[in-house]
Amino acid sequence: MNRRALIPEPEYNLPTPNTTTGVLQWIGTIDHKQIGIMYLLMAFLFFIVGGLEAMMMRIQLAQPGMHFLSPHTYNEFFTMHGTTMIFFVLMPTLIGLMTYFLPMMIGANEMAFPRLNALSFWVTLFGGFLLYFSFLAGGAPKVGWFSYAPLSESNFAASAGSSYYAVSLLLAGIGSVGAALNFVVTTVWYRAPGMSMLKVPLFVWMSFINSFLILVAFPPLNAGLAMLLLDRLLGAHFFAGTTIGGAMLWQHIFWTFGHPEVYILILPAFGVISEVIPVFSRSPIFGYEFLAGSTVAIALLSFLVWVHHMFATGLGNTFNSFFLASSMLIGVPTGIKVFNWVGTLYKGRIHYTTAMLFCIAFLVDFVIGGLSGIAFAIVPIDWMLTDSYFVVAHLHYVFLGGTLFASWAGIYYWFPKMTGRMLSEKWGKIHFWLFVVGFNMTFMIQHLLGLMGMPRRVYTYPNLPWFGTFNLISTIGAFFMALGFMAFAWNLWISMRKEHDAGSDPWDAWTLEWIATSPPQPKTFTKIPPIRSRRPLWDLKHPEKADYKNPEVTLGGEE
Amino acid sequence: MKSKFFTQVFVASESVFFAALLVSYAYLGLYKTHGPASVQSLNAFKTGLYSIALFSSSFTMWMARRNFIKKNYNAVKAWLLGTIILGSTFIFGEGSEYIELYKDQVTMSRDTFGSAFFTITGFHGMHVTLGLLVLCITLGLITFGDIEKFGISTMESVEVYWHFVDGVWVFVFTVIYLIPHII
Repeated sequence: MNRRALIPEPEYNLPTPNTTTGVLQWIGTIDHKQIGIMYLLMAFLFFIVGGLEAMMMRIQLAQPGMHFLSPHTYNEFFTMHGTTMIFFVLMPTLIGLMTYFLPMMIGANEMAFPRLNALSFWVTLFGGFLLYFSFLAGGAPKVGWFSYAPLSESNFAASAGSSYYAVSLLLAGIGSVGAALNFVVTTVWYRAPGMSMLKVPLFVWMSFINSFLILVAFPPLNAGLAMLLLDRLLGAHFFAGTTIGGAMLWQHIFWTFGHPEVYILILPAFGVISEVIPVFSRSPIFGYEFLAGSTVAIALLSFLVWVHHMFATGLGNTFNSFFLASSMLIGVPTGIKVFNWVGTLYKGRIHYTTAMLFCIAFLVDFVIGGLSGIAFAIVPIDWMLTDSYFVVAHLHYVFLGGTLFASWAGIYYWFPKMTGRMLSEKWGKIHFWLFVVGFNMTFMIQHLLGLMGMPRRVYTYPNLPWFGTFNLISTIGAFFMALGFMAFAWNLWISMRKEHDAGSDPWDAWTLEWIATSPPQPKTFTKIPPIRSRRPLWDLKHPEKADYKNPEVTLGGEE
Repeated sequence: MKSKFFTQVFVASESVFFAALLVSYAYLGLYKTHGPASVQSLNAFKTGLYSIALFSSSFTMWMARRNFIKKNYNAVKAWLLGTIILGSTFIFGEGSEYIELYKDQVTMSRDTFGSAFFTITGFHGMHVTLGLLVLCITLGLITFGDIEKFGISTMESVEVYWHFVDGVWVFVFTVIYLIPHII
């Protein structure tokens, strides 16, 4: 059942841009490792753009009544910031890590469909370019990242921006679906001999489940975007706003996609955390089955909670109560995961590397974001706080404190594998402290601003008591984050100038990707050790203490 | 076999896409007093005949795959050709229906029904057309290619996709053409 890719694979190092065919080779590549790196580079590029937009907004909001940005530009920027960060930063980061490491962790040399893999990447990248082309084509979209109808219709948003939004997200959506199909088939078909579904690393488990979420959540978005585009370009009447139906229909479609989407953005992040925490606690993951099982529970429940984004639309108490209950319920499997990670840390010998620090920051900040999320599940609280800065604070705590911190943990953890070079721990810690302190400074205070009644998406605000002070604190925090990001970029820059110093297994880790050379050869594995437990590399390094000899370790099915 | 599995997962995902469109159609209908306005301009009988062509193409496709397993390659070619002809008949029927509707001024921009009708049937027609293209490529490969290297997996993948296209039409036809006559 386990077949290898049949693509001829050269037995030499990956070409760098300095070799004669370098850049062209990268553009034409179908190698999953190169495509994974290109995804990450794409995310890096768009992170800078989206981050600059955020900085401009924070400068505009630093004091009441400022005129740094016009209201028009401000609307464009918050729309572009949200759309960019979600679809062209966080998605490519996670899909990039999955593209690179999912095949390696299951002992495969390639994805199931390498050409589809390349197609998915390029379609997503050009989706991003198309979104930004809108600036040149009459104005960027300016109706928010969820683009509520009828505001996004041509009679309210006359510039071409919203059409570009629809087309670019369609492309990104098609790219994501293609990537997800590839992950599903790869995981099912290409696992190394002996690696049962209960022995695959948790990152693979969560990416696998995540791919199903993508496959079910993105088609409704694509359908909605197609309808929006037909409305705007061919004069169709789906969301026209002549009936209450149209406006509500868009919200239903968007959040049917939108809520699973936030889990799509967090599940692979959970996967990264579940790989990094055990390695730097020097103890196997606590409760593998619960982590895997709760992922399935999250995936199923995530399709039953979308109306909690629409409590303010007046669907009635029956609807609201059901979605209140389901939204509360989805906190349970997420809580299980948090306890598992804490359980892994407990009595572990913790190594405070930068990757581990990001995991710990993740645990703290993601739980804060989760708790404010649970608060929003309660209908009266939602009615009080919807569309206030409390929402902004909540979503940034889960997206940054959750996904971004986990991604950085993953990048610090896997950078040696991808490049053969260690990232500087010194600069890593500067990056960590600047960013995490700045992050909490920026967004913690926004909970208070929301409670005090500051609405989101306003380009300025009156000089009410404390509003100016709190917003100034928030803006200063944003500058700390910018400095932290610069430290990260500098860290990448200096590390890439070093010799290959990492060796194949710098962290003394346990999963299969650490057998390969750093950076891996185009053909990753020539042979794979026998897989008798969930930690094949541990078994290889410690034959006398191997997991499969230890009766206390559950092995996950037969060999 | 991995391409068959791939196709199965792919059509599952595509089904969600069509489900979203059909649910939207139903949802928009609920907000009108008498259902979508121009549904009377549809000729359910005529389209029903063309639908039979599409449904029977599922049978011919199934026969093509069965003969492929038995290595009756001439029969495979004949059944594939039959599938292509039946599928093209359906597309022809859809095209002539579009022309008649345009003559009756039922267009994408006339009302909600027009928008939903052309979007749903249009997306389905696009999928059928793509399927026809794939069938033509398959037929070409079997006729001119190295038949021994042509795996059963490819044949099965094409079959899965083609059944999916037919299956979607069952729902589209029911929701758009039949239900207005029942309720």
